[in-house]
Amino acid sequence: MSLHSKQEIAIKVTGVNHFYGKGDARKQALHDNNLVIHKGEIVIMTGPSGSGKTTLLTLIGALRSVQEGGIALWGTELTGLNPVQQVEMRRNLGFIFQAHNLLDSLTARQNVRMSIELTDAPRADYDKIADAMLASVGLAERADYKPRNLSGGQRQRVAIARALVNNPKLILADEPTAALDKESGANVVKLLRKLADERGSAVMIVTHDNRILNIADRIVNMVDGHIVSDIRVRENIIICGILKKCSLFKELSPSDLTDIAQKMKEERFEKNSVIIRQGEIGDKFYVIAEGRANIIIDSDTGTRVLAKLETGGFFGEVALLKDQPRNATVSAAEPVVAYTLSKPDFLSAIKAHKSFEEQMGNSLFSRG
Amino acid sequence: MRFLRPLPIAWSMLIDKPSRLVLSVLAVAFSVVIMFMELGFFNGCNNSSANLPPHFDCDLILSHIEKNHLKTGEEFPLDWVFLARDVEGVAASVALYSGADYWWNPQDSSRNRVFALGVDLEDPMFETDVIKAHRKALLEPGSVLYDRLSRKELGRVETSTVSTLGRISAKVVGLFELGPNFTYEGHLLMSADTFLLMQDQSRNVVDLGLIRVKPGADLKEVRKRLLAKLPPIALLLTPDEINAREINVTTRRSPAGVVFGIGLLVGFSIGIIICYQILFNEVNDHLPQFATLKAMGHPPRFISGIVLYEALLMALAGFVPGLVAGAGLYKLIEEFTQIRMFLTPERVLLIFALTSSMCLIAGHLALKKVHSTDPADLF
Repeated sequence: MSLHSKQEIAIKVTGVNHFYGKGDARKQALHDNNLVIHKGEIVIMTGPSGSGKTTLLTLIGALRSVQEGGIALWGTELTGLNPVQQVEMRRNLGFIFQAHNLLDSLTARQNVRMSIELTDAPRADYDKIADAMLASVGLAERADYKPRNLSGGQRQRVAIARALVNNPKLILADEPTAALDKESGANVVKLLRKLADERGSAVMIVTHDNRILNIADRIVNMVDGHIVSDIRVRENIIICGILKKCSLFKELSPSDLTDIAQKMKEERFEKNSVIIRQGEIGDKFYVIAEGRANIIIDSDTGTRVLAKLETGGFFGEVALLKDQPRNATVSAAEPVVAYTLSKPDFLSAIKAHKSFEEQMGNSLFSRG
Repeated sequence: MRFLRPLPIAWSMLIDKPSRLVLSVLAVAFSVVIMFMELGFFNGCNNSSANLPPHFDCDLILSHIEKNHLKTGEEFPLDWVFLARDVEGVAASVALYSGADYWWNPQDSSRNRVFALGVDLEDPMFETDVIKAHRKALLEPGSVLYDRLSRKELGRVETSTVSTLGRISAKVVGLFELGPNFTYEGHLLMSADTFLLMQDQSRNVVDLGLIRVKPGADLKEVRKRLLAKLPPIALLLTPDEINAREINVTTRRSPAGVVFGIGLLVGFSIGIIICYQILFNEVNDHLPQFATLKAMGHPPRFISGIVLYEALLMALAGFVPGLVAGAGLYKLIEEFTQIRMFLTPERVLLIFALTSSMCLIAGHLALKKVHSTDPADLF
């Protein structure tokens, strides 16, 4: 199981601040935003209106000039690009808007051609390329229709075809499903997912539509210009699954689990390596996601294996709760993937959940 | 052919809304017609007042330096005409008498001002062919040639019509074509003798001297020699120079020229305003689409291209019906006023150029809106 595969970085946002207005009216829209999006990832940005997610999207889309901090698309820094260079940069991107913004006087094919014309493709191939793209969004039969003769979902699919036809490495979508009914919306996101997987494009979607959250690899939540959470959806589900299995967290609601899972970091250990050592200061709490570990105690009577830990097992909490050195050594019996929670996060999680504290007590009690 | 890329899109946008297209074409056609009419009047006015120079068959025209228009008075002594004959390189020099007088309508006896020209019958150097054809009849005092294109107010006049002209009874012995203008209702041609009789004018008081140089002689040199010999108050101009001066005088000094010139400008401005209104609506409706094109990475000049091609296509589409309507109206005006409107290819081209620039200026104005839109606002 690999949760953090080594992926190519598509977008790297570092320390981005953005301001609107001048003088007294100057207002900071983004505060020290950091974000990395990998190739093939679909990232959904959520957050209340005015939270800065659209600002961040337009900055990444080279539609605004970066003021402070850095945004790199495939290693190319956007800061300092002049308007002409921004236009050039945008040709590598695919844009999908809430209003499809198709040229209403052109047919679906001609609309898709508007994108192809930006490339070096031979003119004679334009129609062929456009038709193939329209076929892949299921509109082969509608190539000669003008937008006014297409349904809302079909129009959005033409817009997607137009955005994707040049195989952009990054697709930026703003509420792509907001104007669509449930079924059309589902089809559109399925299509985006499929094309992102096939073509390895990174996709960034700003949306309030929680019906489509399930296609995301990551959900980034913004509030008041800050990125307040960045949930790796698949990983989150896995961690929650593990947390759910371990007795300590059994009673927690999914959202509580998600809160904890978000703060956890993955760590890997070789077979026979020591994860924590008896007598050291405890700084982390561990949950085993994969593999097995042994709890070993050194005492006057010698070294002995006190217990074996399986997947879903956890350790390290006693030292954190009692502010004591580790009371045992834990070593990997086989390669181990563990999720760790730092001491402050662990303690604040406990404070936040009264029942959790009680359980903790129980668990300490039951361990003896 | 990169610059042609926006053309098909411009075309598709124009034809996408047929009702708007019809309206646009009509609006452009309307301003085209206005411009044609004003230019027609403007040129009609100029051409009509400069209707004499094309009929001269001489190389130089002698006049008093103060005579700044062929139809204003300022005479000189007949001696000058004779003096000219002695200058080296001059083949012939004759006097031309001209002036306005009254013509009585033979049907209803109403009185109108006509412009009369008295020529040397032996060597007229003015409407030579016509004079030669009617030479014999014109020898008879009181015989005149009548301009068929004179205004209808002068009555139904044919060969052998007799009516009163100034102090004499005139008999029409033939017809010719010169055309009316805004000052005189008609023109008459006659012998110098008849003219002097009609005006009771001394033969010694000449309006113009017509001079023909010998074949092969250098006109410039001849003119120099003539000026040296003639008094300093003599003026020598070629028919072309006279023509330019006549038009210049009408355009600059007579209010009619200025009025129609302003009319042309007004038509042009109205055209710009109408086209701007149409293009602005067109652009406004497509603003998010244009912004999307910008976001996609189409350079601003591509979007400018779409709008400007739309403007040009509109100009073309509006020009054709405008030309047809204009030509029809010209015919109608010529029919009713006998004022020649002259739809020459140069003037058609001029109006086309004006129409195109009118639409392009409007297009440029409408473009401001396009370029002020920020694709970032699409999100």
